[in-house]
Amino acid sequence: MTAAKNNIVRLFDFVLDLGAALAGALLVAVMLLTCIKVFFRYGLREGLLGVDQISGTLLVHIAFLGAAWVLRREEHVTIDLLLSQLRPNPRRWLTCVNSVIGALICLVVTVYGAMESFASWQRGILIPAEIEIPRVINLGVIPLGALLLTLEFVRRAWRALEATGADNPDR
Amino acid sequence: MEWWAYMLFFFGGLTALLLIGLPVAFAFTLVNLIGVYLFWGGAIGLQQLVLSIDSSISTFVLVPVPMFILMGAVMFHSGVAYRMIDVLDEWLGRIAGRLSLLAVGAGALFATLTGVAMGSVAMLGSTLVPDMEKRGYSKSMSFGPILASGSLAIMIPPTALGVILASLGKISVGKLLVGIVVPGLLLAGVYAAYIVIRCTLQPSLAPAYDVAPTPLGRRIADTFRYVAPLVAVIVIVIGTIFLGIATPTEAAAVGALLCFLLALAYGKLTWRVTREAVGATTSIAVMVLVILTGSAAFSQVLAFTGVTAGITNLVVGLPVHPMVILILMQVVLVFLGMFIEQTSIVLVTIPIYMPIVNALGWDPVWFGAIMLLNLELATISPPFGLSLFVMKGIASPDTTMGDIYRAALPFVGLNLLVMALMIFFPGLVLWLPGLMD
Repeated sequence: MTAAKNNIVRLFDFVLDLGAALAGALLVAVMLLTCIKVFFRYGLREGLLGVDQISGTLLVHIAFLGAAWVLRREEHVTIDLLLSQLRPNPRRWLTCVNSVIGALICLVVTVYGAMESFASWQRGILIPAEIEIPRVINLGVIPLGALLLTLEFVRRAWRALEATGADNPDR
Repeated sequence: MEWWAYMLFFFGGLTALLLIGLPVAFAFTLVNLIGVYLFWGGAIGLQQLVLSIDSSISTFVLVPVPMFILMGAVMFHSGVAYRMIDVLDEWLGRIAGRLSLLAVGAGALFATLTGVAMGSVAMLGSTLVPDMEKRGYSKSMSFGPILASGSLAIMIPPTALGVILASLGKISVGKLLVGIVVPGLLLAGVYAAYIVIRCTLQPSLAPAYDVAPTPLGRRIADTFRYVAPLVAVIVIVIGTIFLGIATPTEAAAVGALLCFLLALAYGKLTWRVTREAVGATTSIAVMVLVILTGSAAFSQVLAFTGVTAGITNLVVGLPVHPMVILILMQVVLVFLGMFIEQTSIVLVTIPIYMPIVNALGWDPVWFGAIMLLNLELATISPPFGLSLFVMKGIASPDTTMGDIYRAALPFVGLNLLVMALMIFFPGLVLWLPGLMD
């Protein structure tokens, strides 16, 4: 049971790392794409359509592919004014509570994001811009990222709950 | 329900969620979820929220945010930025308060490259303060300049926060970045003048000490080798925006690529450096972008419930001079800035502030520049400015918060002086952007 649990945790961590690596690669891609556009304009005297639009789409992908990884590293901005004043055990309980709230928020975004993405795909909705790309390409990553966030929040809550155990010397 | 009741509900709810430690981005999302569910037709509203999340960040206008962060990350992780600080140190010689000046100069450099004030305070505080203490510098001349240098973070472009503010406030990104050049340089000059004058009048604050002289030829060579190329990159970024040759997005992307090329030219661009720089940038960019996913829905919910119009009408109808309104708006920013990180403040205040700015006929670039300076000022304003606590964390154990407050106050005053100049002489901000027309 423990081995299976460890494997699942490792797999989940791998997925988060992969998401972050993809987000980083997309970031570099945005830089290179924009530079290529500038080169086309001034070097080749040619316009390159759609680069700005693709960059915007990639920003959504960067945000949602990397969001759960950033949460795992505890790098999302948090106001710790109250948390930092609490003793360890109440702090862990509050972390557990805010993690459960975070998980529920992300679960709602996952469900409705999936519904909206599915609806967009089914109706074949295109984004009316320089290049008409299916809207589901923009939207699809939102439920995926939100699902990973939900799972990471659940893990965060679970860890905080475990740490509140009676045998914990830091209570 | 009246607009003020909605306002209390939204802002009260947001405050409660933030206080229990829910990350800012998700606190905004929950407020938005409730808002759209109640006012946009239940489940349909929740699906609309997903579209709003997409539209908030799927815009190329925000591309300079990660690009500016990437520029700084490449320069720091490759070690090139630290070499620049060494060159700066070589030039200072035996000038009064040289370590304090170095703090301002290095802070301006860090800030220019990173656009993050607290990071600059933490880094400089841990590297320069021990040396300052060893040389007998007073606490006011060691902590103050380091705290103040953070103010330059967002007042000297490139600045990621400036792009975020302009993007959310529908202000021209290019004009705002160009508009803060003069106030930013003025601020740096005022800091430097204060340090030199104060240390000349009271040498005990920063005792002079012997410095091994660096030959002039070497100083010039090092400047051309390490400082000039990076300054050239920054000039290219701002210059191309100013001249209309490139959009801020293009200039930022080219600037980031040039930083990679610079690191390569110095022989410092390894796989490790690339991975660390891109990793650090991804982390900050994701954090900022996720906060911004709530921006469109939050401002729409405020507008839909009448909160925006209610506050605008209330403020515009106040029987006071518009300058009083401006000052009150800045006071609110300083107050928020003591507790909340800057991107979040911009997100909360811009939907309320920009309609007021438009109603009063103020220039949005001018207002944006003042707001930027104020956001930074808030982080060093006693008693709760966030950078003050960062400094307390790295200062020697015998340092009290009182020492840090006293060190910060003169620089708070200098910031207020520059802010007053910006308010009463709008040309300081608007002159350069005016030339872009």
